[in-house]
Amino acid sequence: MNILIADPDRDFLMSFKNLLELSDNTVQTVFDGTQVISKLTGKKFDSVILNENIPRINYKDILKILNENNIPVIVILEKRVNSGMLSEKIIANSYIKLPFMPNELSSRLDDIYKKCHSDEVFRYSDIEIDEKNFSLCNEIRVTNEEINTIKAISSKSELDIKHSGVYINSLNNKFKKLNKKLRIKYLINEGYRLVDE
Amino acid sequence: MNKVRKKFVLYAEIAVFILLTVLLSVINVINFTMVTEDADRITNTISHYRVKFFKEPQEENADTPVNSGQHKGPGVMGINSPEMNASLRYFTYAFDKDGNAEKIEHRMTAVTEEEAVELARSLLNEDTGWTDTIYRYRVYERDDKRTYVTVIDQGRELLPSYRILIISAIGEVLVLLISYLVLVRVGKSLFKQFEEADRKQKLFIASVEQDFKMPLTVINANTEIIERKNGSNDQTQAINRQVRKMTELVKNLGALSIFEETDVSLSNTDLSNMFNIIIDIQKSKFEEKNISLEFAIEPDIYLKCDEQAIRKVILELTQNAVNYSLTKASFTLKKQGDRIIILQTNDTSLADGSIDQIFDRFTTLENAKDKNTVGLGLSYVKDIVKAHNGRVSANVKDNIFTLEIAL
Repeated sequence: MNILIADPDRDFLMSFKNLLELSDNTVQTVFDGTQVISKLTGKKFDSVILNENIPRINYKDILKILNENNIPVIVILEKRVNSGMLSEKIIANSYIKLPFMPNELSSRLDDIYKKCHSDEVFRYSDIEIDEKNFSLCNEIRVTNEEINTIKAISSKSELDIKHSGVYINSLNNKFKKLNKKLRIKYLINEGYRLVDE
Repeated sequence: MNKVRKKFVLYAEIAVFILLTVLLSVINVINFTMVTEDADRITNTISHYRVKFFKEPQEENADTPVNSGQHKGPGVMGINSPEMNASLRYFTYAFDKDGNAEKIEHRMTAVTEEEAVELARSLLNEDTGWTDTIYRYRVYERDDKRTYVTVIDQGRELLPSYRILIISAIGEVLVLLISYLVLVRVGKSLFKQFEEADRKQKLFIASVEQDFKMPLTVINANTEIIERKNGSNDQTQAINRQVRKMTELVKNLGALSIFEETDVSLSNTDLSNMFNIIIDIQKSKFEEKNISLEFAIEPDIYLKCDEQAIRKVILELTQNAVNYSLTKASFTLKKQGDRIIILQTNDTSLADGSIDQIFDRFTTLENAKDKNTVGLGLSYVKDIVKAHNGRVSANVKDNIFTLEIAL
């Protein structure tokens, strides 16, 4: 994988460059927003890891450019993900909150890479999720975690309620926004299920 | 902290009020008792020594009165004053068995003789006491078997006592007002250091969380690099374990600042549904520990709240019940007037009493099974509930722990 890491902390850049290179990735690092823009011109990245506190250019502006160029991005957050963040028009493919274990980041990178190279379209009731484009019904963008949440629910896997709640809410909000019948509901003695309203 | 300061002012005001009321009541009761005693001494004198208080020159056989106008010199106060004879206002009427009244003495301008007879007659069955607020009376018999009624006017003597009573009441209100202002001011400076300590603690926690996140992530990454390059050994494993522990702690500290975030979104949340879901998810944990679980969740209770935060509160309560119940636990969600009440109870080995300190940061009780716990869980609960204008309390009675949240 060709990976670009954009973070103001040089130790972070060095550490994750070394770590990801151990897994046969090619990693480039930058520590401000303007460098991100200049790196994007001329080189195709499979993934960008972007710290929300990147100096000089607001990370949301960088996110917009990455979205337009279909470059998957993982945003490193100082605070928790909330459903307001996930309902914005321009969103990252994944959000990860500091501090995190290295394998959390690398497994997300792998997960996103696989999705980007798969032709799988998840269909259930009146919705479809195009994994490659991280899009819901070709209209709204969804994150890697939202896709994983809906897939886990459809396969009746157990969910971590502490961390899945925000994705369940944001998915239901998105279904509602698209006037879809599908909802994620909790059924007593069964767990979270996809049901038509 | 603001609440504690208000409590301090309230309790101090109650203490000042009680002290002042007791003090002023004692002063006024003594004052009125002394006026009554003085009045009784006068009526007693009249009843015992002679029918007429004054020795008239023509009454040669009259008993010697106490106050017979002897010269005692100036500056004598009270009933021993030589001026008493001239200033005393009273009347005495005698009644025979047939109820015929005879005027013995009438030295009162405010009451006519007819009114005096009527008043004295109405008092025939009494002994001694007050009538018409300012008149002290005594009913007694003398050797001639007639019933005598003596009524004295104590209006002038009572007036200063009533003035003292009114001044006491006004004084008490003024003292309460002044003490309130002083206490508010003193409270501010007194609690300033506590508020400052609390602010510094929050700031410290926030900076620990903020400043440790990146180093921990970097240490994690580098430990992984070393392990992958050189293989895992005791040292890298120890670093990993400790760093994981610190990472968890820092993640927990992060939850403390949950309400310092600016983009918290409030939504109308079905609390009943959320509660049922969490209990359903967690019930297997209760079963694993052989804890019998009871719950009474009133349906359709909605709350405008930060859903993620309230979910954390309920998760924390259920997790606490799993950790600390001995054999049974229960949850109640109900509406009480305008408020939503969440009750969590379980059996416990803790001693009776209020244990609100469990909501303080970094506080654990002696029954904490997991000694590695840092005591933050319920402090989140308190912060979240407070941010939703609610209140929390906890107590133990008869080996039952009860935690109540009012939202």
